[in-house]
Amino acid sequence: MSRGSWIFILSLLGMIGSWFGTVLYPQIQLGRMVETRTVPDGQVYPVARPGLAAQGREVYRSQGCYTCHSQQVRQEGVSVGLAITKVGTNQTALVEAILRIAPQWRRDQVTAGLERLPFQVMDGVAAAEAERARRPLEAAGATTMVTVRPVGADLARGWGLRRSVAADFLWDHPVMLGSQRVGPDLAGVGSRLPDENWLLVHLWDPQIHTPGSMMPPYRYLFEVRPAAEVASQDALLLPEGKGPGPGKVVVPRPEARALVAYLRSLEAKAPLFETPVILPAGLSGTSALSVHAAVERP
Amino acid sequence: MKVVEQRERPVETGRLPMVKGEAGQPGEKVSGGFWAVMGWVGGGAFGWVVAALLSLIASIKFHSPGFWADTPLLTYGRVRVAALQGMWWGGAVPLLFGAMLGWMGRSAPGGVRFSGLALLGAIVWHLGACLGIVGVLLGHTTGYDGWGMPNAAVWVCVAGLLLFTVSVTATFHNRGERGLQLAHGFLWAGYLWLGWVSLAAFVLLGLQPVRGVLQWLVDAWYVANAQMVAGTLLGWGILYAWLPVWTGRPLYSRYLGMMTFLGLVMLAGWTGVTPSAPVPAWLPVLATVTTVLCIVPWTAAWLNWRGSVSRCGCVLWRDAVACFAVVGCVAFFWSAVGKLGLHVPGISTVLEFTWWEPARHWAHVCGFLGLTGVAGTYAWLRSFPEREGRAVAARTQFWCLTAGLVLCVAPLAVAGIVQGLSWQDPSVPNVEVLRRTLMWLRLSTVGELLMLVGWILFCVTLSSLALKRGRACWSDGWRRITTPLQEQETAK
Repeated sequence: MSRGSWIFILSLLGMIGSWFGTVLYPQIQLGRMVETRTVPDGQVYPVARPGLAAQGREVYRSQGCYTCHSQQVRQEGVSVGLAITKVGTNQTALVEAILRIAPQWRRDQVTAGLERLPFQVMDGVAAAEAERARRPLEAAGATTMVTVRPVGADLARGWGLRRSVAADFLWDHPVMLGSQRVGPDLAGVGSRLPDENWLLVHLWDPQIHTPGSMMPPYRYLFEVRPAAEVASQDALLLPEGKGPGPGKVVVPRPEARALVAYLRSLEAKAPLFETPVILPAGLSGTSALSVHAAVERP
Repeated sequence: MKVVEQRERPVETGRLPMVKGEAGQPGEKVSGGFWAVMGWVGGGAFGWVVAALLSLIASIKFHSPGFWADTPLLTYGRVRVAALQGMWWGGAVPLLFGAMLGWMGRSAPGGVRFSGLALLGAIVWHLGACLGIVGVLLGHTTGYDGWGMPNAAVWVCVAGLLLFTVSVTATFHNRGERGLQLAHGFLWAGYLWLGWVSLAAFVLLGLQPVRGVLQWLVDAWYVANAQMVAGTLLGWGILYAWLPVWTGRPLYSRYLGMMTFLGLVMLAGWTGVTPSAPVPAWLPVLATVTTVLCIVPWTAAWLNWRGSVSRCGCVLWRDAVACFAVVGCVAFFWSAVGKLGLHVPGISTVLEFTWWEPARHWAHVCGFLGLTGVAGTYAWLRSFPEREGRAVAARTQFWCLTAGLVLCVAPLAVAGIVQGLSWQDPSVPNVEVLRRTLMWLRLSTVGELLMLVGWILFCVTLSSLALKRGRACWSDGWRRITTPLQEQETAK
């Protein structure tokens, strides 16, 4: 066979190879994906976005919001720890046990921590160490939980509870992961900013809540109407001095309400098999850190 | 592949002379296709102007977020997507196709075959690109980063591409020299590759969309293949086609050329998946490994370039046409380094999602593909007498584009590093991170402005050449019509 034929065959292999490896095989692996169950609650995940949120996804696409906001939270690893969820009856013995297994704590810090449960006793240890430390605490009457907390710079910013996975986007079309972040990541914005009025005000004028923001105002998603014509519950609640003027109110158009519904539906936080998150109720990924820091403060 | 080396006239600097041996009817040999090639490159130049203008508007919004914010058509998200799509579909691709057709027509007796079809194809293609840009501005983008053109526009572009295919295939078949040059392989592979990935992306994203995160995977695959493989092959094809003409000697090594070719087609198509993508872990790992392995074809391309221009680098730099290729080549190697930075573990954690990727994109599409296309166009135009006396305009355009490119890419890259490093500290709020990058983003606006001026100059140069040629054709035709019959018979 001539050299030209070999080059042709190799080129064809390269052409088909990248398609097979990057498109066809992932299609075999992910194409038949169905809803999964959260761990350990067993809830169905993900649920398709409700109608208004689905309409909002179209507004998000049409406005090109994905050019400035990503929807993929990065994770650098997990931190295994131990948390106390119930103190039991013998607090003195429990404090002594905690001081034995976690000598970095001071007695007053432990006492303060036990008053605000759940109390993260250890963090960033090996799973075996957490299991070993669990026994003396349970012997002292406490109820404990080995915690698994995803960590990373994005998570520390509060952009999510865990990394984004393929299951999060199962029912989305189009999937707008974004490749650049001018603004913050929005994968978990529904959990972070659940207030509808806050989001609408942010769309009307980003400078109100976030001075210095480079986000453009989306005023064309709103209408300014005489106050007398509009029912009070439909009008946007703007801070004093930020409104359109006396006798006038700002009313969000359906597109703005749909966009906000979509943003509120972005809650990629369910613990899944591929992204385990085991934290006691009341202790989120970021609040675990803040509790830790609050307790550490003298 | 039997490779025939080109050996043509030495470089002449400062002016853009005619092809040797064509003094009687300058450019006659290649004139069968002037309007076809001009249709592609002229439209491409106009596409670049539109894309650069939109990009400038997007950049100005970092000076004042409220700038045209009340106009839905010109909100940042839409303008930026329109600029990126316009840059690719309206600027880079038609310019490269035009340069490819021009070079192939040059080596075929009688020039471009079916030039009417090629011209019609250009018109249809540009109509599709215009529809696409307007569609994106009206909010009909697809939502994908790479494959952003509305479906209707793609159908129109496909029609234009098919017409182009007929002409370029016939022109290639009609070539005077039957042996194949290295550039033929690069250009054909790039052209077919682009058709293949565009078709696959159109089907899998536009017509029968795949589910869930696979949409993003298909888009990432399309971007890697269209830009890193097809675009790169077309760009290097144009360079390899004209380098022997500019340097006056054959390419340094066709083996290095083949290594570049095979390395690109075997490896670069796998590099699209970003390190933190929400896909099975083997995909980002594979993308990282192949990106690192791409050092081999990139190095081969570098060695071949260095060997080919050794001892005549200064001559090339002074040449009013080849200097575009030199800067384009530098931009390519910069974008290759940028691509590596996005995949190497550790560094990628800092640079991902930052302005580093737009900087790399600018260097590759605007720098490498854009300037290579300009070099190919001007090199082809040297065959025509209308080109005489345009060296100053070309030089001005060159400096505008080069300075604009540097002022655009370097600040964006620095902004990317600043942004990435700032994000590593969770206590720094996002607004503060943005504030730290603002100075660099605003500096890049100057680059955008210079680039716009450069593309406008390119557009004006081509338009004036086309006008000149059109006027000459019209005068010639008019003279023939108005010549008395008796005189014609006497002449016979």
